[in-house]
Amino acid sequence: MTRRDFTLLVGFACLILVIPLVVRNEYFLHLFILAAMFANLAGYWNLLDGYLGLINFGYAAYVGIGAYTSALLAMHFSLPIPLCMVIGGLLAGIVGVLLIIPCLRMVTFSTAIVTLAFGEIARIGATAWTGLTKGEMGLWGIPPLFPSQNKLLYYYGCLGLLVLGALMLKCLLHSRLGLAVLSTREDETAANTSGIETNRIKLLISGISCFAAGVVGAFYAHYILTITPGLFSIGYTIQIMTMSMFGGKGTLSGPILGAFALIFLGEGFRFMQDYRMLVYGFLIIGTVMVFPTGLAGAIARVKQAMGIKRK
Amino acid sequence: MVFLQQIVNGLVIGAMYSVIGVGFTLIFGIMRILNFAYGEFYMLASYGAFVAYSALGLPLWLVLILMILALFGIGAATERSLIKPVRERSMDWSVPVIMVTLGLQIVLQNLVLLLAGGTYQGISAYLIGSLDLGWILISYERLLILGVSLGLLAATWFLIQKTKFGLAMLAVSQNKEGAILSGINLQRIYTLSFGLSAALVAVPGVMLMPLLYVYPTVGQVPIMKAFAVTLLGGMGNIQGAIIGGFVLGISETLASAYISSLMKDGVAFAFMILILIFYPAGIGPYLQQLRQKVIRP
Amino acid sequence: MIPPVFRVSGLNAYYGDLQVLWGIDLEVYPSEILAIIGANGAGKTTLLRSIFGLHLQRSGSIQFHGEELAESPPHSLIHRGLAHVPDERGIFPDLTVERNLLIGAFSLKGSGTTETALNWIYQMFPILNERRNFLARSLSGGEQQMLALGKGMITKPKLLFLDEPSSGLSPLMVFRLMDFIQRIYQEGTTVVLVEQNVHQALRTARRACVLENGRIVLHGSSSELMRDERVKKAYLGK
Repeated sequence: MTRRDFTLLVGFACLILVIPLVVRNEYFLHLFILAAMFANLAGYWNLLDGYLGLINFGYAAYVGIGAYTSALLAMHFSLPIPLCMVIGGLLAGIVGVLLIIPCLRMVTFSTAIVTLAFGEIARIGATAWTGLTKGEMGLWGIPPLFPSQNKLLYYYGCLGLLVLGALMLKCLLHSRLGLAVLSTREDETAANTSGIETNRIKLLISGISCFAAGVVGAFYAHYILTITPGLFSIGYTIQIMTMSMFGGKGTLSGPILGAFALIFLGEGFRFMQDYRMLVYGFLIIGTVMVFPTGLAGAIARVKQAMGIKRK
Repeated sequence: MVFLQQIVNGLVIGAMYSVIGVGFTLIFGIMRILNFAYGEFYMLASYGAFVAYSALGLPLWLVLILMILALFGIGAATERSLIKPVRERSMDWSVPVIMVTLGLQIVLQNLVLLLAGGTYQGISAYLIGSLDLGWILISYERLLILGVSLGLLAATWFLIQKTKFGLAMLAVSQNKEGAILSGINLQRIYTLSFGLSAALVAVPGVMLMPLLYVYPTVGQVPIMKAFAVTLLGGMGNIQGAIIGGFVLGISETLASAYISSLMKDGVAFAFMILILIFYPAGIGPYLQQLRQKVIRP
Repeated sequence: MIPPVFRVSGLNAYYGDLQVLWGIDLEVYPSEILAIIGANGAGKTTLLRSIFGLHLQRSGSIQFHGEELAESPPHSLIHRGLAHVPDERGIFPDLTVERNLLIGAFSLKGSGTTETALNWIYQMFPILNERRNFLARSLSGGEQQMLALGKGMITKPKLLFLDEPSSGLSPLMVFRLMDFIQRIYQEGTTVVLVEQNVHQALRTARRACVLENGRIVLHGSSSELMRDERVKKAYLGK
């Protein structure tokens, strides 16, 4: 990493860390927390899609599974909340892996359809199983992660998760496993002949990605304290996907940039509340047609241009 | 006999599912993409049918023709304006094109929501009355739906098997380069097939309007059925889609009658995933193998 | 001096940033069989694919009867009389033999013409006639190669490019294949034969070029090349 990159990163980090201390607006903090959560989700989605090339259209379902599992465990068995969160993540991860197993034998894009179908089944199931989930009315009275209602704690907690996640992803991608992941995306047959067990890689990465989604979902449950089956809906998957694409698929910083950008732009154009999904639609089309490398790519090009100017 | 009645009802809806499935799987076979905006084409046809039939009072046959032509145009225009630029950008265009169709789906759905409002509209039926055959009762509406579906499926089969255009589509779906070298204009096939696909789903859009009503998010229903039927029948497999449509229709109707109407959609999906565990490529290819064995044992 | 009917000038081809063909100059004269030989990876298939616009990252001039082809869309080449049998054969596995041939005849106008062309191919390749309703995927390797050839020839092209037609065939089949190529030539088609089987290629063709690492390093009559020391050592194993 160059000197300039490092200073930029430190600057950005300081900004992210300090602003919430300075701006004591509750709503503003809430947005930051949402952005940090989505940044996590977009990042792990990107691991699956941008790096491995496996599209999971039912991603929101794993967020939901983690959320409900953790909430119910905490409510009915009074287990310590971090434990509930981990269990929620584990369940989400296991379900994710189990679903991918039959998909391994399928033709391209069948996985996309099956994961989408599963997302829908999960949503219908969560809505209909009112005995467990209280259905459409929502599950309320979830014990909070941090006893005081201090949003700052939640924010730093989420940021901590984000940093942890980003570091882990970085290590993973620079390791031999990371190389295997990229090879699988580029040419699966070639990877297989080189001795890379692409099936195991797909299962492993799905597990990691879905586990992370479950943990973030659990975090959300213990933050917002009321959840509904709407959490499973494909709208959230699309949001996560758009953030990843808009920020820059296949890069580490892209999804984070995309998440923060879209959450704050969305709020900045408050009057566009009704038009939000419409904007997302245009954003997806625009990004694919005009802007495929996303924000991260644009920044890289700017840096290149500036570097050339120097010489 | 209730069971027979359910089977008949299942066949009727299954015929429509077959049409929906064929349109979707056709595009997958030819372009190797999933058209996420497919449901929205249905939705537009439904709105068009509502306006043309209810507000303008046009006869059903005219409404059908108009919607088929209109959606053909919309489909072809979509391919040329949105998909073509993405295709020409890189060799690996499947995923970006799928993303574009997803974006289009969101845009169309929300545009209509903003412009037309979210209220459910619709008519009760195109035809009133039923045919009493003793054991089963079948409404004229259902007979109409069945008739139109079977006619459309027959016409599509004829188009694919007996015309030069159909031969070109088959060629492109099996060997793109072989098709190009034989003089087939790939761009034209893509545009026309995409239009054809939209035109196909326009028919359920018109015919099922009394059943599913008209509202901005109605497109969710056909796209889910399209996914299910396509997977069931085998991606790109047209005969598989036809069979898959009937299988889905009958199993849905039976599940709704004997298990629970709430879980109807969920049951269909669960059923589909179960089948896929044993036949990962769908039942279509398996049936083709069976047919081969029968012809040349 | 008869002018060449087909000429490639300064053809370069790339895979991303990697250049794989360097300034290829090639001339094909009417009524001849030209062989292009070279080792695996020399660029033979890329050359043919570049000529036919299947490989798009290319620059340079490709002229047929004086007309520039490089700007034309790939599907128009067969209309001008240029046919290509690619190295993966270009056949349609889930269609019958007859349908495969019909697609080969796609550019012909009129059902009468198509019918005649179809019968002509069935005459040349009786086995295809026997198997006309069989799916292409159920044919043996040799039969598939015949189908590929039939499909390539059905329009009686002026110029026919064959990419490694002998691959995967038994020696006997290769012999018969070269026989067919002679017959095609006698029917009036100019043939460009890209081959790894150097021995057979030089026996069938009258002129040949050697492609090495993306460049034409040698060209001349087959008899000259057969006597050339470099060719003998590198390709004929002497």
